[in-house]
Amino acid sequence: MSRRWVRWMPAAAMPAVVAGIVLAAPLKAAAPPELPAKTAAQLLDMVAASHATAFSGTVNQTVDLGLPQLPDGAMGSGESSGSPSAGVAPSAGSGGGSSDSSNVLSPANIASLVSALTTPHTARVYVAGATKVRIQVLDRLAERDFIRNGDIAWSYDSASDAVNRWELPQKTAATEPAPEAPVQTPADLAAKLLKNVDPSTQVAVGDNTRVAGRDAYVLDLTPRVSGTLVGRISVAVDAETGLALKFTVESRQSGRTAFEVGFSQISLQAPAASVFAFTPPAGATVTQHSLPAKPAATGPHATTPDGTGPSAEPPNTAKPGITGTGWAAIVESPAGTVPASLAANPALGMLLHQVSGGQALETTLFSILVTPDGRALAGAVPLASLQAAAATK
Amino acid sequence: MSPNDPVPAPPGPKFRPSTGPLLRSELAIMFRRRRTWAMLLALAAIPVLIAIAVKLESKDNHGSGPAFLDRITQNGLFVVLTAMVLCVPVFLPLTVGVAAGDTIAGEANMGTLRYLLAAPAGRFRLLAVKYLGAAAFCAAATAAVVLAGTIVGLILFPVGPVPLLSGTTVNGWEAEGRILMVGAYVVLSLLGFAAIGLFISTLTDMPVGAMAATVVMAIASQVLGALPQLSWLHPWLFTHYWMGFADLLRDPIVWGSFGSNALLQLGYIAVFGALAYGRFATKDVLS
Repeated sequence: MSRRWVRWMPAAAMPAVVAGIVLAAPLKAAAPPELPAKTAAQLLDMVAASHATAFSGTVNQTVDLGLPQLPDGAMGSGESSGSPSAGVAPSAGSGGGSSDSSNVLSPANIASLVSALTTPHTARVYVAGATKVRIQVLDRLAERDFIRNGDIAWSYDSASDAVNRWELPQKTAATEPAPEAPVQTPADLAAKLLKNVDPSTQVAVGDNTRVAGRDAYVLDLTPRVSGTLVGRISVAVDAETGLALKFTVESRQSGRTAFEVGFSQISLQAPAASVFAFTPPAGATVTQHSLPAKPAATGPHATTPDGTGPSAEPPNTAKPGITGTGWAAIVESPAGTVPASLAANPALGMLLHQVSGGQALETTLFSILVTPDGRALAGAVPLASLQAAAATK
Repeated sequence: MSPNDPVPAPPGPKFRPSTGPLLRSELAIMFRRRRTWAMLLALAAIPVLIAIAVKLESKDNHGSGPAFLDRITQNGLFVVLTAMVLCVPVFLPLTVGVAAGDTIAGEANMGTLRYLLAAPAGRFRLLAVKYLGAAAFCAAATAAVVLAGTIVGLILFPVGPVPLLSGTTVNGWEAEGRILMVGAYVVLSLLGFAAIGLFISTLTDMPVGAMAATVVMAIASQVLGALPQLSWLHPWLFTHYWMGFADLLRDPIVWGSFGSNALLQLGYIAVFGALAYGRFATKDVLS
């Protein structure tokens, strides 16, 4: 009878071996690396002076905003119909108290916005200097490419076989590296955030970590004000080059990571020049755009990407009103900017719900309120603050 | 009846010289069966049907239908890829489930398992040969789709430079190379599933039950994979990387999913191979 047990041995051992290998891999990487101590100010300088301008790697973006999750593919073609870039704007821009709320609600972007808010993305990123960028968003059986090569920018969507071509004005190093890209690198996000660090933010140094196999310092930014939903933003800074490797936003409400963009793999070699050369494939429909030069004096947020394409920007959305400051700022677009048909959109209907004072999108990180008279209010604040702000007008 | 091979050999590719004839006869029996050819023909019919349907109804409908469907009229090589999108989740698991579920249970049901074990082959080697036979069917099934798709695409549609998912255009030969890599990826994807089928087949003497249970495993795994609430489970499902063959159509190729898929399938082969051995080596073979 003991022979029977001997014969079952491999069956018992094999799952144990597999489980052992699976569990051992993360344990090895768990120990935080020993690095020379740095102050928060030194780290900020390090990020600002980062000399890693040429790199390539894989970026993973995960979102957990407490929204209802939909089965994969339920959004169908939504993935391909435009840019969910505005979806990350509320978290990215919250440090400066500004985000393009009016563009978040442009109907063309709703399906992709819903997708951006509920599904993770993986992208490959190639950067060679400020003007050569390629972002490949790896979708299921499809891909969206966003390429900037000097003064020309391209986007390509394999599902619809559609190409957009932008002629960028001269000297646009300050504008978005790649127009409409739905995934931004941790470095881009960190640069935007750290540029706007002011006394309303407490900056501290966290525990060292490892990201994509590289030793990294961690900068923890905590809002000092209580009126915001943002609990903490952590930026992992490469110990060698000062490049931001991971960008994590924690919600104060849920206490969990609500938004994270980080490298899962990175190489600091300059990518081949051929990566940035793009020729539209035969048969693709090419749409031409030209990006007008913007005055540089209106501050950093004048360059925030516009979901509908800046040339199509209606004049009344150009200047959304901002109430409050810093982390608790609320952006408000004037009456009539949100079409009444919006609430009838089935994709958005899954996210919006009726509250007193209009329809609201509530997440663990930001809120959006659409009032019956067509105003849109948004901010990294609880919904009640938006309702109060809407009522004072 | 007590098994008579001396020491339980560890699972793994360890063959003694007499495995060759055993494997050869297994493959000969499988590919002489009418059922095997019926399944291969049914698989080959899928790209043919797609191509004919697109040819007859060739109006331009961008972005609708399964992935790659709208590209076929421009380039015949997309017939294979469209067929793969349809075959990988449904038709390939269906046919592989039949082949893998039949391995042991089919012999037991026909009463031939006794005679196979009477030959001095040992249960481990019989199991290994049966698994290799199922793996050979995975390869044949995928090859049927690739071959039929390529041929019908060449006949019915123009073939030229192929745009990849990244928008880069490659010439027809490189595209065909990529399609062969896609085929290899799909075969690899099915190997873990075939090991599950082998294990289920050792559990019963009813081949139909084993086939059905194996196919249900593939469906259940894909249903679980579609539920975002179970995202922690997804990387461990054997179907997780099935659609990852598209990563071979990017420029540059994303090899990550190929490697992860290989590791995952290897894990499934190891675990379910060991389970199948435990069950089969201790099984009382009465028929």
